Amino acid sequence: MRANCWMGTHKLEVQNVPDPKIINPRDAIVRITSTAICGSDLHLYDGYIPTMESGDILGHEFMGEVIEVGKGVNNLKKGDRVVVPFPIACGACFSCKSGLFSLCENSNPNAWMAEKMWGHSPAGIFGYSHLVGGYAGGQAEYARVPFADVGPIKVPEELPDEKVLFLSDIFPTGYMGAEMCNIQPGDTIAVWGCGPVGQFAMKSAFLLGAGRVIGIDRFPERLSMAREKVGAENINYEQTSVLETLKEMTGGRGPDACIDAVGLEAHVPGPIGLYDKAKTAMMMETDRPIAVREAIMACRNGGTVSVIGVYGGFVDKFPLGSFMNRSLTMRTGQAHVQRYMKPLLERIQKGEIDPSFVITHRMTLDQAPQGYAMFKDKQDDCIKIVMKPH
Amino acid sequence: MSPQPGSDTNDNWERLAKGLGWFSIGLGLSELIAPGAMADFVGVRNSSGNRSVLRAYGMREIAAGIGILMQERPVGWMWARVAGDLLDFGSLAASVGSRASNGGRLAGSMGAVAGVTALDFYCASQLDRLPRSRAEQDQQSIRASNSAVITIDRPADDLYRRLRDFMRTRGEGGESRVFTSGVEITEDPAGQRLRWRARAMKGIAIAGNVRFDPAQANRGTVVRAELESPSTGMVARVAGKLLGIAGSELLQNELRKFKQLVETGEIATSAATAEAGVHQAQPPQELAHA
Repeated sequence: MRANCWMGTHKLEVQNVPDPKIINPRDAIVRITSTAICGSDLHLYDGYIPTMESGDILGHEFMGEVIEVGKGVNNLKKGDRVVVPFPIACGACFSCKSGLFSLCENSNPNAWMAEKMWGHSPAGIFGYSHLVGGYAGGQAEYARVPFADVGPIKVPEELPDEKVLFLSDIFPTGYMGAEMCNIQPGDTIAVWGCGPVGQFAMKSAFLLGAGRVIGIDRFPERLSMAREKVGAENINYEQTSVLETLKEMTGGRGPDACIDAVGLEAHVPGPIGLYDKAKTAMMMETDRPIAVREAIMACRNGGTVSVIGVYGGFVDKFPLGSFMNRSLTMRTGQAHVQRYMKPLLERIQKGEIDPSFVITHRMTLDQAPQGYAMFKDKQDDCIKIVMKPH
Repeated sequence: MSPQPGSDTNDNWERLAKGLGWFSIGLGLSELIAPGAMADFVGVRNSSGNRSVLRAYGMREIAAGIGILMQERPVGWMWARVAGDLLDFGSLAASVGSRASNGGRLAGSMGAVAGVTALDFYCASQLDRLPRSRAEQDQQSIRASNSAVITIDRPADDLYRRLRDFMRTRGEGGESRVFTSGVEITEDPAGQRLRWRARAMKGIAIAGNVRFDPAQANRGTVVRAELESPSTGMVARVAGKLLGIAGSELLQNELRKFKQLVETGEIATSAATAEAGVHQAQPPQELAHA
């Protein structure tokens, strides 16, 4: 089959690789009809995530048709149309039973690696380095889906791929980001990052009862998508001071909750950016925490900082003093997608949201390398790319 | 005639250990983030395989460094550094004579590692000889570096039977380095313990025991496995310590596989881990079993 393979920093090749096969009884094989490029894929592309091997297949946002099931799978059959969640979860361990599917205790065969890095291992993830399992990803024609009786959700024929694909990752991620804010009716929520996850976080904040949502970014097309498609207000951080503007917009108190939908590759102009860039270059810092620093400083006393941007390692100059002295709450995590898929599918069916609004580009799988370059450099007003492998 | 806790001599060894801890973290970050540059620097071939090994070593170094910095008297972690140094030396030695390596740099790197090994060994031995406070002794026995522990959501008797069968199956399968082929199991159902003996590698015997205790708050059973190291002779003790460090890692992986089998019916397998060795995250060509 054809698959998009990571060959090194900024090097991707769509190659012919073996077709996946059933290995364990609870596996299924899915013929992929639509697959997307995630903002977190860019961290792999840019070489920030360790333990990648040349030839690894990328991709963790995918859906398609079941073509084979292992003998342990009774709820799916050949021909079913499913969306596959990006964390791999067994459904039976302490974490899964607590609804924390991205923390499954049984799905990372390289748990020893993750334990060294992070103290304990989270769940395995499709196409996201050997640290979280070395699973082949879904930017390909086919994928092997472990624990297929727990993860994939069947979707109705009348909803086209574009309306349901994002149940795999970015819609639940944005939604969980908003849910973690513990939104009270009328609250003001500020969101750093108006990429696709940020857009879903903003939209979800409104669905959960926020009165005002403020999107922060520097790209005009992303700010205008937030304004026109979601109804959020804008702050362009290259034109104005975020902290001062937020204070002014919120009567001096600050937003009730702040969502970081940016993560480790945050961009910031000026001396602070240089400090973080220098530290990462000297390998004294692995991530750039600009967005989460600002989110903490801006948040009102007693408020919540919700971190859904991806981080990997260690950061410097973290405002722990501000966090502690002002009774802030931080909530974070890789989305527990499995627990959101059904309720969010219902919202889509009821017409409360059409997730396809974030899509700006459609390509074939063979165009993946160009797609990544375009997505990274934000050329042609690119916000979200969906690819069709067949 | 050992110095008392709190004296200057103690402080010197602990300070040295902390310095080595920082060194570990710095080295580890370099190996993790720039394995290609490190490969060139030490004189081994800058290949994909070597880079993976360097990254793994980097993570090990960082873990040791953090362990050393977090503990007052980091005896176990210093021994972990020694084990790591020997591994590093062995890996470099394996590259000697290969055309793709840089002979001059390699010799230099091996010399440097030998020097650091001696330093780590000396520091670890000195720290080990210092008298321990009661609190430290308790800590050492609970967090001994030769044990592994996991919580599984099943009753103890069920796990007892299944672990015994698991050890035998792993022994027959030949993939385990802890429950190797020919593993001998001694049962003690009344005492809720299993004991095993096996051959680890190159004539080194490995033996251990497993206990089953109820977990807090009805959350299943805590399975605790411990390697038994020989207690006589300096060389045997050191070898036992080093084996314990590597062994506990292998033991933890065995317990993880056991938990997966019991809780999910399968052992978690990915494209990269379907076969032994370092592989790409791509479906394997042909699988050994259907």
